[in-house]
Amino acid sequence: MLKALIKTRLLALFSSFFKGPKSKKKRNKVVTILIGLLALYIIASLLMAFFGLFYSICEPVCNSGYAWLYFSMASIVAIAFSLLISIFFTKAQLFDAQDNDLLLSMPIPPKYILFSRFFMLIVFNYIIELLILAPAGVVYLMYYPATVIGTIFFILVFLLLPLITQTLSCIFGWLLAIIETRVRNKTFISTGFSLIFLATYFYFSSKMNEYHQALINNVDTIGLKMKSILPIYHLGLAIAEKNTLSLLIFLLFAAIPFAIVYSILSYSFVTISTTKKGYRRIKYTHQPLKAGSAKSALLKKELRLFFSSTTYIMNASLGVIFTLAFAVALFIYGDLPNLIAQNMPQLAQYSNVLVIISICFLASTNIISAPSISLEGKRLWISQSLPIDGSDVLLAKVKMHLVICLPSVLIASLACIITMNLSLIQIFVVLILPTMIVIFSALLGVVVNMHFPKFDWVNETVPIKQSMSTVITMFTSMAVVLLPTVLYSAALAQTLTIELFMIIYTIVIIALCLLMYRYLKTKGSIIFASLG
Amino acid sequence: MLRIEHLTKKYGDKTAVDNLSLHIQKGMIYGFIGHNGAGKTTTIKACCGILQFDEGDIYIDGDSIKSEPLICKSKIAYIPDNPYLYEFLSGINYLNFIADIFAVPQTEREERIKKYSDLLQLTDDLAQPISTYSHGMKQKLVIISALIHEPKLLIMDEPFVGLDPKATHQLKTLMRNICDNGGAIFFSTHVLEVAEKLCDEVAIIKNGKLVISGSMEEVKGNDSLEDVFLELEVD
Repeated sequence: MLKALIKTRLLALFSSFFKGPKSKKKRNKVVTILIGLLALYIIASLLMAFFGLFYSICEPVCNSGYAWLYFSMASIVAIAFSLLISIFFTKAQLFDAQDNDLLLSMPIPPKYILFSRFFMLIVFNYIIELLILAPAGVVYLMYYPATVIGTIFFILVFLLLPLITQTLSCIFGWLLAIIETRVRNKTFISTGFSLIFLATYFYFSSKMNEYHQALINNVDTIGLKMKSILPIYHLGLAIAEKNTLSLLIFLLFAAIPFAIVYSILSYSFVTISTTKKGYRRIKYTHQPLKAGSAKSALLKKELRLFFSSTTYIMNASLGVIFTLAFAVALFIYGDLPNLIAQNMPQLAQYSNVLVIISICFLASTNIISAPSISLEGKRLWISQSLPIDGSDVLLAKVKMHLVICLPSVLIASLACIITMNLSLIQIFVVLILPTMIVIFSALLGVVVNMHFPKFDWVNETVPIKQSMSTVITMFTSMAVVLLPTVLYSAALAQTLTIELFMIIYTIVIIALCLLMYRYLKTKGSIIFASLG
Repeated sequence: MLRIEHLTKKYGDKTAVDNLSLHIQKGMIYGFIGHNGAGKTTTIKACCGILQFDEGDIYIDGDSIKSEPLICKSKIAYIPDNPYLYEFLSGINYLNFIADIFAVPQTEREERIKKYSDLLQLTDDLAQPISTYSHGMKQKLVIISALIHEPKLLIMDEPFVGLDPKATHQLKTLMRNICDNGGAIFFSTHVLEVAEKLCDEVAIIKNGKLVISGSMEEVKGNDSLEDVFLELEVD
């Protein structure tokens, strides 16, 4: 029974990465390949990044006699990275699981259900930590010979490390679940926490070079301070000096808190699972209602859906946050093109255009409209049975994308005009082109989703993160910005001035937008009616 | 009010509805009965313009759902068997959304929402997100949203599933009132006792084909509707 539960959990975990929900339809091969390539690219990028990080610190740190510090640092990075990725997943699995009622109604001991969930979470953590500890181990072996005991201790530490991550994730998930039962707007809380985590990640990522240099320059001081964090210190000592006592101490530090958290959860699992999630009940009293047009009702409905989902906000509209951050950076750093010209003199004449292209690229990363038709899911009957033209439903999804993305792009464009020394043509381009890219992405997302809808989802993560529509829209939008840039620098720089090229490029984007708009207006209703 | 003419719908090789013709007149409650998979939901969805069909046509108050879908949809309301709703909206936001789509004037929408939500005892919960509603509450919300624009034709797929006895009674009264005021109702059900007491006419469908239709008296004669249905199923 336990084996079957674990198997189901692991299948669910891996299918969420590589497959959509169970469907009679076979998944399109192209989407499988695209998602596979994307996954490979992300894995390879992470492995390379961590390899580079550890390669630069391994020799200086180990040669200073602080080999243990090298492994301690690698473990801290692994714990932090795993926490960042798994913290909300842990909460969803332990505190918000949808299938607890069904499982508890079966003759399965609750402790088996909990164990199977923990097992899956720990496997998930192994996968993440492998991305960090594998490069750390390989780099170490490039400089120092492998020993049997050292390798065994390294593997044991790797096996024990997720217990620490899992303990922290459980505590955080539990606290977040308690907070959510006391507030009405759960999306606000979870999005807020997600943004804090994201900001923390980007803050430390941007400071990585500084920390890296500080570590190399102050190995002694940092080493001394790290000794006070006993589990991390003994972890490093166990691997670097093959110290059995340190391994045992680390084992205790990892296992005891985990055992306590697991016991508490095991004791209260049935209560947690069966307690109805609390919410503050507001009694409705009849009051004047605001009447509006059908089109504005559709747009409001789309916006409400977007702002009700942390998954949607965090996965489809990060470009908005980055665009705003870019605008702030323009104001803070003043003349950004000058900085580009100083650091890359060969691009000095294109520095203004590079800034404009950067805004376009950030705008192209928003994929809000791409899953919007799929997100109708089993509720598609509502739009299809109402007396509204299908093209109006589709255009409401386009408008939602524009309402959310355009303000940030316009702010960034204005920041360019205020802080940079632009020619009249460049001012025209910076006002029009990024806006047109937003419109292009919005229209493209809906057009692609019309042809690649996915309505049979159980969790909204599937259409938002794992559907053909979002993959195609994301790559096409980004390619539409990047490929012309590459084309110009590779082939057209000698024949066209950059300004003329930008005007032609803007006209092409406008033409493509008009074509897609016309397509939605003429074919949208027919295709929308045939969906589902 | 509703005329289904030679409706045929195929899913691949399987014919879900085969040359079905029905006529539902004004003022009539028309029951649509059949076993699971007989083609009831397919027929109902085709009548609402949700499902495209292969042959035949469906007319609502004289307009074809094929050529004038928006005019047809503005005259009808559909209540599905599973009330999947916009869970991210509150009940009142959903009702206001539907009222906006049907362009129901402000005063009328407020009056109707008050009338039907009080009647179905959902008023207190209208500010809550739909995600917190039970199945029965969602069903009540769909019923209120269906009545908000005073449709001429109400098409319902298993409307009594999930409703408590009081709400079931209220719905039956509402159905009769709609028909008394010149509307029409076409609904599917498995609850044959309800169909027998409520319907003016009834049609029984089996494997996509119409087996029998007519007034309740014509169809059941001296037997109960259940006996007739079971007998036809055996045949």
